[in-house]
Amino acid sequence: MRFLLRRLGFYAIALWGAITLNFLLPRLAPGSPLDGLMSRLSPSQLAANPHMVDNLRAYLGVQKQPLLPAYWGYLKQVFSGDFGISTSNFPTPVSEIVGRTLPYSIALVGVGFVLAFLLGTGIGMIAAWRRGGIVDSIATPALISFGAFPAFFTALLAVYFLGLKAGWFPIQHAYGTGITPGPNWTYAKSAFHHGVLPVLIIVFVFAGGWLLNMRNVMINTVEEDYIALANAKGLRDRRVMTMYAGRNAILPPLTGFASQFGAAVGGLVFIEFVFSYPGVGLTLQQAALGSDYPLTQALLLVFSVCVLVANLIMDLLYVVLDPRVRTA
Amino acid sequence: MSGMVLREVLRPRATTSTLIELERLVVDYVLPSGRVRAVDGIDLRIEPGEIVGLAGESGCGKSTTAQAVMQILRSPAQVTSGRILFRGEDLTGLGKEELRKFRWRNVSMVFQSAMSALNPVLRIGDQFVDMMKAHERVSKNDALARAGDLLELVGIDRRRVRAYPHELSGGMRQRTIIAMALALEPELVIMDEPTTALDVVVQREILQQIQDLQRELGFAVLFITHDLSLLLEFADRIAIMYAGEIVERTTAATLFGNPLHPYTVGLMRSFPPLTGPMERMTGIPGTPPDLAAPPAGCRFHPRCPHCRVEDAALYARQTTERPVLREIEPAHHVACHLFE
Amino acid sequence: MATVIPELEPAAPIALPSSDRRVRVPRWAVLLLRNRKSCFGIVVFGTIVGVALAAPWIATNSPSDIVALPGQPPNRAFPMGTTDQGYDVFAQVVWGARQSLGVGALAALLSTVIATTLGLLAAYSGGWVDDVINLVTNVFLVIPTLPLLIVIASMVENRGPVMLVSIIGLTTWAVEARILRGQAMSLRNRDFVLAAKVAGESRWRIVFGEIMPNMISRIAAAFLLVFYIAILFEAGLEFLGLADVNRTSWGATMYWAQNNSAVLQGEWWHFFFPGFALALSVVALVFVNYGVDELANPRLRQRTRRLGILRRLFA
Repeated sequence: MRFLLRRLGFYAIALWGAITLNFLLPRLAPGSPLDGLMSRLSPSQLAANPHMVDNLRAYLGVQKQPLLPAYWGYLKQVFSGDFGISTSNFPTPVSEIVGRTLPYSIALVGVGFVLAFLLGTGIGMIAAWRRGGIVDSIATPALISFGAFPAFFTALLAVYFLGLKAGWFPIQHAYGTGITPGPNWTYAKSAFHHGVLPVLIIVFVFAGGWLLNMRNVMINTVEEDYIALANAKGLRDRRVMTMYAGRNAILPPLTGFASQFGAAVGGLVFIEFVFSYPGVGLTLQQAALGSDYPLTQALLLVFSVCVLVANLIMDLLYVVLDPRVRTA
Repeated sequence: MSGMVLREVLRPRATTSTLIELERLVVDYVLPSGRVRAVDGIDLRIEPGEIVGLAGESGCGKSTTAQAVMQILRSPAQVTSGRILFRGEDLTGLGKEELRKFRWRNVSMVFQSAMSALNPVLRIGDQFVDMMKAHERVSKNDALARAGDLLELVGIDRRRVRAYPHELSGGMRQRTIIAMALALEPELVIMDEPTTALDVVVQREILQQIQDLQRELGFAVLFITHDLSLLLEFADRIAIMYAGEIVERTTAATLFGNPLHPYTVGLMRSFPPLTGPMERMTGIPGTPPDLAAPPAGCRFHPRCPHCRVEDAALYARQTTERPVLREIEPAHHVACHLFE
Repeated sequence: MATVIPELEPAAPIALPSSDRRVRVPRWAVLLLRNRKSCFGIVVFGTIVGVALAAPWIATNSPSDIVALPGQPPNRAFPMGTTDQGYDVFAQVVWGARQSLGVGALAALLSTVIATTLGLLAAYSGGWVDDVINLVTNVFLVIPTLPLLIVIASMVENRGPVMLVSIIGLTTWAVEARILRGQAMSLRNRDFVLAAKVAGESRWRIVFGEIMPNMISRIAAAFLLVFYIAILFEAGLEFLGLADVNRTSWGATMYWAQNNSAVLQGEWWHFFFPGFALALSVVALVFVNYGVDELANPRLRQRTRRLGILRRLFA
């Protein structure tokens, strides 16, 4: 329990740091970010809301406001969920855009990453147990090479071969045209169909890393005395591999899950871009291109919070799996 | 003992009653740079119910011998030649599944480092259950009950069955390992430095416990240690190992009263007795040989006080001819040129 | 107490601390080349670098000139086809290697310098300096790097290579900083460091003159790790359109391919060749990393090798 509290404290501090960095960024950037933004606004937008420019100025800190009050104001805004109005999607508020796109990304990353983890660690466990065997000689180098390929390249390849040429899967958007999202079967089927390829990419890109991590830890775990004793006790091979070696070996990769999640987020952006999948990744890219600063800043915060939440979930899982932490 | 019915322990192809017979056993470590001979042609016999001690310095091959008997040698170690007979049946010829059934039912082992011999993420009771289910058809409840019995046997509260290894002290963990080793009532228990990692007081307790259990259940013990003083108190027969060979083999009483091999003499003089008058202690000069390139002739000769250049004829033999284990007096074997 | 007569021979000579400090760079190359994995990686990567350097001689067409009929699939005249504007893909790939690899290398260098400085400083100073640096490191670890890069890129006017090097270097140092700090902490209490402290050497001299030379191997490994990540980020930012896409580089070529819907039109060569070059470079570097990993942890290798020299190299 103390372990969890310590982790929570760490996350709270990290979150504060992320928010602060988010606050400082536009103020640190060379040149005036506002000019770029201004050049993209249409005259009709400016006419419709004459105060918008001033608000943005204040929001981005271009006016020479004293730092601390501005910071305090920013914190209040963040915690009340007010992230301003998106300039590229005027007049939709940022929070609405985030609310619309975040679920799709979570679905993608949630399914994809968990699958990648299970597949990677599972194969890594088997590969290390029978070193030099079939699994080790084929799956290991294959998945590792795939993992080293840049995510967007793998995505493009999949789009081309599996989507265009083979026509097995749709290659754009999250659901078919003309279908309304909601709790109905047509939508669910379409969403699933559209999600297969992106999820597949995520699995391919990340399983390799897990595999290597798990395999390396397993190779060290196999040398442990309790494995020797388990074998000496005459336990079945598979049981020793899973409940004795695997159960212990999975702990270090689990802690690595958290740091890998940051990389997963990066991959997500590329995959959503290639597939025009309406998640937060694509939204971020479009927003960045359009200099929509309220949206990009909000999204950066959203991403950071997601990483922290993923970390927290992993910590909880770790407490469940490793009894030694519970009494610490 | 509750719940479990053990099947007939005698193996189908048993021919003799001698539990373990090692015939000219040779174990090599096969490395890319060459073969290192860890065990070089040893003969050892263990009868039912007797306590045989195997003593020697670190790296002399005693643990390797133990692993060979259990057939748990890990590559690059392998048995190159010789036979390991369990009641007359050659273990090296057994298949994987037969070996799996053999392990723990007939011969079990107590490892040195109890600290790390228990799976840290499973409860103690579950580790007992694992083992029992691998050999017998038994329900989880019965197995857990029996685990509780075993823990009580070694002096641990049976409620500890639900504990995790890290919640027990070092001594308790070692006793748990011993309890596990006895769970299937094996005929031979190999103990590889079971008390080395513990403090002296706990050491005494554990040894006492082992002795009591042995008298009550009647299993044979192969006790491996570098501490000869323990063996002198505890074992029936003792074999001294040096650089992969057995250099002296006899009963404990004879060894104590009349140690013959210079290495044995050196060992006896290198620890103070637990009781009795204080005497001068001496060490054995030099270091154990590199098994990749052992000395020619008698492997102990570089460190032996009786190997002097002046005794030309003897010296020549000591440096070229390997001594053979010979019976010098009844039930007392020594491998030394001084006694030929 | 019983007396012990010391009849033992003197102990084997201990390696003197000064031997720790010699930098063994040459042996590195030999060991890396002997390891199968890193050898493969070095050869492949070296070839790509060679192609990049020899660009003027290899690719006769200029990458930024319209040289031919647009939209040609790979043929004899244009082995990698032409884009749907009429540019020579082969020329773009060959010349693009310079920017892609160059920016990656410089960014990785910057990142490693920052990571080393902060990591070692934190380890040696302890106290509040350590705490502050740790806090900053943790913040950068929590915030996912690519989104951060995207946001920063969107706020900056000039998006040329210099900017790319700077922002990639300034955002990727956190992972290595933490690792290097851990390693430096284990060195902090070694005798030669304490001796230098007693002799009155300044903090900076101890960190950079005593501790760092003993970590060269780990720092080099850190550089290799960040190198391929930097290459990926550089190409990624260009692919997303957030860097100057009028310069010749692999990412830019792929950006135009995507922008002009090359995939949907079936013009696979437009994205495949630069993408493959990118993938190959990254895979090669990853293999070099594996080789380095295997050298540092002997158990990972298929066969056992003697450890003495190697363990000292990677201590």
